[in-house]
Amino acid sequence: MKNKKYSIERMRKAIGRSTVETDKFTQGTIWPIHPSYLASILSAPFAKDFYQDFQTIKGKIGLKNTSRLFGHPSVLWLMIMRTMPGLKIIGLGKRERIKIAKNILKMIGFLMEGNIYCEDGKNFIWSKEKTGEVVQNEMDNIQNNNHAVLLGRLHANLINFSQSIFWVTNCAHREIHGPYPSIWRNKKTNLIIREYFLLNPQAFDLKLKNFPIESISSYCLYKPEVKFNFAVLNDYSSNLPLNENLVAVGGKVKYKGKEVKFNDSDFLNRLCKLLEKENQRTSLAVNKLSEKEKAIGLIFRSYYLIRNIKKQLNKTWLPPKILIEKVKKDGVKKTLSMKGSRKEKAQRFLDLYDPRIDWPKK
Amino acid sequence: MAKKIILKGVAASAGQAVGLVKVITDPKEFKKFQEGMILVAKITDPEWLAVMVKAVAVVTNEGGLLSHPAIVCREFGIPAIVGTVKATKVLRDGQKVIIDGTKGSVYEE
Repeated sequence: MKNKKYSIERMRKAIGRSTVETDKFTQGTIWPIHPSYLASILSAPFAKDFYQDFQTIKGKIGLKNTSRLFGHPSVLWLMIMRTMPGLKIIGLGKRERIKIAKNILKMIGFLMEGNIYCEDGKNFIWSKEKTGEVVQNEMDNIQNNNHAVLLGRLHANLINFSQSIFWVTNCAHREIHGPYPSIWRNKKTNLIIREYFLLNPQAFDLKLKNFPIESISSYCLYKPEVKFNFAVLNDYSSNLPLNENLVAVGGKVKYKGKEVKFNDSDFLNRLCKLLEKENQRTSLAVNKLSEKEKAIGLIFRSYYLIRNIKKQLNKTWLPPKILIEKVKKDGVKKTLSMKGSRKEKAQRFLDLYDPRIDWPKK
Repeated sequence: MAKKIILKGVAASAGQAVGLVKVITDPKEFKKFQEGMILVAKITDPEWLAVMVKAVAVVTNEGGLLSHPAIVCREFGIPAIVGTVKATKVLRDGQKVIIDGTKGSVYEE
């Protein structure tokens, strides 16, 4: 069912379901650095930069084409969270903030087939025709339990590795979507699609030049007894063990520049080992960084979210040098500490991203 | 006879497992973790993949339904209980326990 009414209240509730209710961003430990440590340095310039570029690009190519520069909905949900506090700091009025938020919601609508707030617990991005083609052409029966366990290991490795590379912005570089009701060999199933768009970015100093895996798309059909519950930002929960309820699988990996299907266990095992080794190297290297280096790393990852807009405007996506110098000189400190009960903190957390509210009370 | 619940938390990844507890408070202790153990930690991050891949279940003090240990264990297909607040204090190395990731309960074996 399409539901594209652009409501700030529903946007607030969607962010709440994805973050506050699940502790995704509100827990004290966010690896490798909490975004609030950088709020006083990054929020305002990043929001201003985005606002100016967004107005220009929207005027040039229109909202629908601008949405395509972001590629998939989760980047845009993250952009709401990354820009709303900053737009308040730079003094943008309530009316204009609401307009920006509704424009972003409209862009999310262009990139989705289903309810943009995932209020129904579903993250429907692809059309029925597109998912039907996948089920028709890409799937094979699961070979044995070991095959299912390997698939689970691959998915766990992908989540970890993506986080090792992109840190707290990782949900903007993958999209997990579904559950699409599907028929597989006369049986009812649900399709979950896991897409990891970029696994060897050269943008950050991660030494991934020779890492052979560029991207992975995995398609899994699960028994209908498994109930999935999606929130925005593309994470989900489920009621039953996934490996035991996997029926059929398909997928492809861009490996050394070529697209390869990964239906056999040997190749899956090789992919898992490669990802585990690289995850270990990358996460260890990140954990060895100083607080200042982590802060600079997060500034780069934030600006990387708007690289396609910058490219379209013939600008560099790299963050302004002045920001980096400021971190090097002054360091970072946690600036968004909130007092009060869990409920009060949650409300203030959501107030930060609510364009109707000027600035949350302390 | 009903088993005694020794700890409750958020039911983050469905399924049951039985095993010996290993409390890990620092990545330096990863070498002590053996295949088939139950990982008990404050929270996990990508570096912890090295031990999570060997675990039969994971229990953490912090985290919610979409925290790192929760989403990773669901993909691995192993039970997980998160947000217990005090798992690293209540559970002891070598203790044999039953993890019920569907109910969010840890039982004494």
